[in-house]
Amino acid sequence: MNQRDHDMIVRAAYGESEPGEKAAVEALLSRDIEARELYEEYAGLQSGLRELDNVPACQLSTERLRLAVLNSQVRRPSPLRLYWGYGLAAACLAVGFVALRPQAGIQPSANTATTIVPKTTPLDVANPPVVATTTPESPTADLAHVMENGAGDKAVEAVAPPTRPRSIRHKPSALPMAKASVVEKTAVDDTNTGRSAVVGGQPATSPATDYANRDANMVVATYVPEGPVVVVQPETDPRTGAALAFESNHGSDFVFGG
Amino acid sequence: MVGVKSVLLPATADKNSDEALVARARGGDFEAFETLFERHRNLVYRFAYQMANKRDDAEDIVQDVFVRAYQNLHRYRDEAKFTTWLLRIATNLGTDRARMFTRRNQLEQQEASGALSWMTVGTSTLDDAEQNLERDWKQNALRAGIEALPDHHRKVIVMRDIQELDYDTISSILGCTVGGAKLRVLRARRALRDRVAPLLGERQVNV
Repeated sequence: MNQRDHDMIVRAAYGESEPGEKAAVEALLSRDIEARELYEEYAGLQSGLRELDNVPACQLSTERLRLAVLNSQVRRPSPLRLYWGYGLAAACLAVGFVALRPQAGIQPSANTATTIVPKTTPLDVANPPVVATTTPESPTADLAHVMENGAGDKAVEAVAPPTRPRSIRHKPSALPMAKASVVEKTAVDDTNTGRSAVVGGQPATSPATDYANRDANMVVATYVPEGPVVVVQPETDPRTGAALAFESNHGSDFVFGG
Repeated sequence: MVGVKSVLLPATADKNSDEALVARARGGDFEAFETLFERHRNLVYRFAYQMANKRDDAEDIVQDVFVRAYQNLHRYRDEAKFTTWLLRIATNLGTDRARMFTRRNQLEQQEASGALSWMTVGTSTLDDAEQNLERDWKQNALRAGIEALPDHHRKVIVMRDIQELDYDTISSILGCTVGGAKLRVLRARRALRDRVAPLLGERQVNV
């Protein structure tokens, strides 16, 4: 028995024979016992399936349906509500971005001679280089003396180099909004105290050829949170001339020299 | 404007027809939708019961079908009959739920180990206890065979051989041609026979 005969028997057992198929099915069933058994098998299936339609009554009430519809409307978030949520999230992100970004546009106060270092990388902005060197002629210069001489009066502004000098110690910035300033200064002798002081102004000779005062043509970068410029001139070892570690009043320590 | 919106209906349309009730339900008349629910819930329930083979699950399916229908009334177009549209939703829901029920039914069957089904009282009204037993056994074998069918076969068996829907309706529900629906039914019948015949053969051998 081939596939075509099988399909024909199935249709005949379910009462769906084509008009021209009935004679062919009867002839097949009369001569083939296997076909007759198959027909009886499908006919039994068909009668059994019809009996399966006897199902218990539905107990679902209209009250339950009404409650389900109401719950679905409560649970279902409307598109407008979704848009509000997305908008609120975007607004929070925007506010956070604006609040946390570096304040590059803030100008220094009037009594300082500072220049905002142009931002090169986020790391440079967050951790501006702090550079402070001193002259060999001023081994006892201290922070108070530097401030008395008005370090920022005639300072020549300069821009910090894009690359960090090897002697710079980067301190992780606790104040990411702080500004960095770079001031170029020239060291001269203070006649009153005998100490070396840093004042503003250009050196008498070219920094390239003035080897005696080459360290005086220094580049000072101070880390100024919001106030006036503080130029740090740490003490040096009188025997070796090496710079000593300095501890500021604010508890922050810096390492100078190299 | 608050309240039920006015709905324009053709003058010839019956006020109690499915289409008129759907139009009123679209306008916010929930009582019209409840009338549709009471009219057609048994149709959907029979289909869901044959698919899920459990009363509670079938009622859940019916509830979901009508909730989804209410939410999507604006998508219903009058070309198809409302019952066809409902059964199409039920078919899609049944497919989704079938995956969920399959695993649960397997666990329940393992627990019951199949013995409890013989202890249940049959729904037959025949007096002959032996005939009742034979009939219940056959029905159980058929239900087991249907449950073992793939979902696409089970759907068409339920629609055509149990609910006796015509091929036009089946093709509308399945979204295919009438010839395609006939072919699917034919394949499903053969698949069912392949699964039920061994069970019936075991019974005949045991008897």
